[in-house]
Amino acid sequence: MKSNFHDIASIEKYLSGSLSSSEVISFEKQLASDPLLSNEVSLQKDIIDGLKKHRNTELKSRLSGLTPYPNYINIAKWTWLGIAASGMITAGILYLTQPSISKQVIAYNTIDYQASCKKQLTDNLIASTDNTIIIREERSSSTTLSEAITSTNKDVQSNIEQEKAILPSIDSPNNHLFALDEEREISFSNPNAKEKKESHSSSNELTANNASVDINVTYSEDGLAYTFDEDRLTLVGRFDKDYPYTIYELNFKKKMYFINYKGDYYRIKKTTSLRKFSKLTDQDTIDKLNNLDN
Amino acid sequence: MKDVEIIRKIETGDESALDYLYKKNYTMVVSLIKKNSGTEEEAKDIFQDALLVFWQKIIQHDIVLTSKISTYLYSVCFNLWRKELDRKKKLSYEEKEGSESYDTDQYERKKIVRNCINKMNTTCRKVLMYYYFDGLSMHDIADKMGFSTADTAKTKKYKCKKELDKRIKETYSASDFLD
Repeated sequence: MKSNFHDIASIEKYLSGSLSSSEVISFEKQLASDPLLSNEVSLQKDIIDGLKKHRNTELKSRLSGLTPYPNYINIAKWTWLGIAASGMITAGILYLTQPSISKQVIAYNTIDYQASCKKQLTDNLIASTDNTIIIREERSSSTTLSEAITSTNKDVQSNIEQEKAILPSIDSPNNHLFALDEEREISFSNPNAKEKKESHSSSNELTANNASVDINVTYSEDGLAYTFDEDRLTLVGRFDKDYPYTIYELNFKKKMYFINYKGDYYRIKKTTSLRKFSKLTDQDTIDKLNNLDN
Repeated sequence: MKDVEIIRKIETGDESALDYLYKKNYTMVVSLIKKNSGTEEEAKDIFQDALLVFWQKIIQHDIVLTSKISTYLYSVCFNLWRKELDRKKKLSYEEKEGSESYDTDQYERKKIVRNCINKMNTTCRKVLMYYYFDGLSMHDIADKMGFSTADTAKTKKYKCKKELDKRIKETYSASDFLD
């Protein structure tokens, strides 16, 4: 049986599906009438399948030998939105909510964003859209922040448009929605800060947090700072609206929180008093965090 | 590594991108499948299958990604697992199937093919695997193998395949060929 180059090439084309449908028809006609060709095609198929199988097995062995990354979670990517002027001092309050307590989360300095975040986080959704992936952490049920949705600016924007009209009710006892009211000096230590256009009622809860009163005192205009006590993270500083910041939780040796803003990572530790952001320098941890970012 | 970079690397057959995707998404897939009555072992199989198909499709430009890679892999694995669950359910209702047609000739031939592939020299085997499984272009195969040009790779592939064919056929008994 002879099989010359030409035959093998045609056979390969046939087997890989690169022949046009008319070529296939004529080839198959040939096959029907030529047992040698038919045998050759069958053999070639086995050879090619064998090569594929070998590579498949090889790659699978390779993968099996790898150590998967531990279960990291990428948490909310918050964006500063709706602020008329950049350079405005704002503060954000994030709750690490617990499923058992129906706390509502977030206050931002615009009601729009507030409403959209409230929707996102209190829904406790696991969802997946074209641009997002939500990863649910298995271990502790105590932190629903780890169930938060990562969303793109665009998603938040579109949510904002939908939610604009919704004003959170302040009457319900579990409602901890806060608004940063221009009356509250805590949030506007920058004398150049523009006032918010929309005002909305603030909850009395905010006054209970004494940390907010201290903010003015220790805070310097160009710095970024935070408090993180119990389950409440308060961010204070001149966050530029064009730069979203991202909060990460690493469950490596212990639970650690980081915030990424303008390309740098900062570790967030539990603290009741205002603490300045301090840049993360440990390359190893930076690499791990970078691996989360996609 | 961002998705764009991962894709770029996969297109040239860079296995480090494959490794990365595996390590990054493994836990997620395993937890998905375990939550749906699967074992880690089953999850690993599904995930490896899905990932390798993804690998091939990207190289061969046989896919249009409209989401993040993780999302895509996640949903592929979910679908594969659902199919597998259905398959398992069906099997539990059926008795053991009657003996499938067992073609000894074909079995023998596949065995010979496997042995000959194992005995190939590494370079030849790699070139052929990259060509047939990964679907890399001759240009990328040349880069990966350190050949000077795409034509070198093309010639090498032709020679290696011819050699493999020859070896396999020689191993056959003459009676397999009607002459």
